Amino acid sequence: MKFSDTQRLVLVKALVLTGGILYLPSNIIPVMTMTVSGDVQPLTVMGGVREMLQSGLWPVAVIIFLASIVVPFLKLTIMGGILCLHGKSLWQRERSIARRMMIKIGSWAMIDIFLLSIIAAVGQLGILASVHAEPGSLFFSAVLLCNIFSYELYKAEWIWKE
Amino acid sequence: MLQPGEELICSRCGKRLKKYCDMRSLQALWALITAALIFLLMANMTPIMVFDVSGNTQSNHIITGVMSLFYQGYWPLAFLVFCSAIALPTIYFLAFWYLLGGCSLKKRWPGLLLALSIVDILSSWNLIPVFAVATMAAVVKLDQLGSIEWKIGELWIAVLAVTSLIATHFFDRRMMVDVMEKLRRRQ
Repeated sequence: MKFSDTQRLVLVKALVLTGGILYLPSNIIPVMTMTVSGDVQPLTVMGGVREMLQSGLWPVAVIIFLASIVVPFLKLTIMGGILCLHGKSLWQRERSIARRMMIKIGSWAMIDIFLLSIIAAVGQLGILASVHAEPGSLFFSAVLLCNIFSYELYKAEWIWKE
Repeated sequence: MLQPGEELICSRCGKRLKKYCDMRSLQALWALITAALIFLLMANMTPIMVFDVSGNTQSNHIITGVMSLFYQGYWPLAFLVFCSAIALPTIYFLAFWYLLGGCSLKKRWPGLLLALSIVDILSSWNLIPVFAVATMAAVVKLDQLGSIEWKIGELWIAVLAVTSLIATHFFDRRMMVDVMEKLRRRQ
């Protein structure tokens, strides 16, 4: 796949916009249902964090909160900011630092999908305890993919172009 | 020339351009990646954890989660997890191994440039460290549902995560390009 620079820029804008639109449903719609001895519990991303916090597992809760709520939001806003300032000479150094940082920590957002894949394996154990994926997880992973590809498609040198 | 411990940093944007690196560190890196390939194989073959709910036991491999997502009808998710936790890391480490092997033996193996571009593209898709942390968080979460026990596979994943972090930290792309350029000129 070869794109010209203008095509790439349009694609990046589209990806960020899509990510921003999908961010809302990905946080509202449950990502999984946990059934523990007949007690059915749909959980959103935030619900999973809150539940862990209540059972006193705050280090894990903090990691999941940062990785799956704060990081995707930061990635979207920073890429949005970079796109808004595209072609301007303002904050060039800060923009390139932010871009590099986001690429480094950005993949941590996948932690929630991996977590889901591991605990969904319990779904095979029958009625006593089961975990099922819900549509929210699809939205969630779509946001992640939009984020990852928007950062990969935006060239570092574009920040310095005026 | 850079001295040991020195690095070249762009004064305008703050990006690290070049690190000190010599042929010996290239060989050490190659050994590290060889170890990582073995760890990767072991991590995929041994169970990560054994889960027990009132007598029903189940041992989980990395692929178990992918399969259960697939059976629940979430095949896009299953595909995503399969790619980012199994397929892409495997391709990444194989390409990395091939590239380092060619450069540290100073042999012009065919397709070194291809291997370099694979490493470039997949470097942000090496999600093994993320997966390692996710397995730990999963154990904590599953503990609420039933009894859960670590297995040897978890250790392999953790070791693999550490090795891949070290390897990517010391990998110097520019040096690879230099070495390949020298090899090309010699012929």
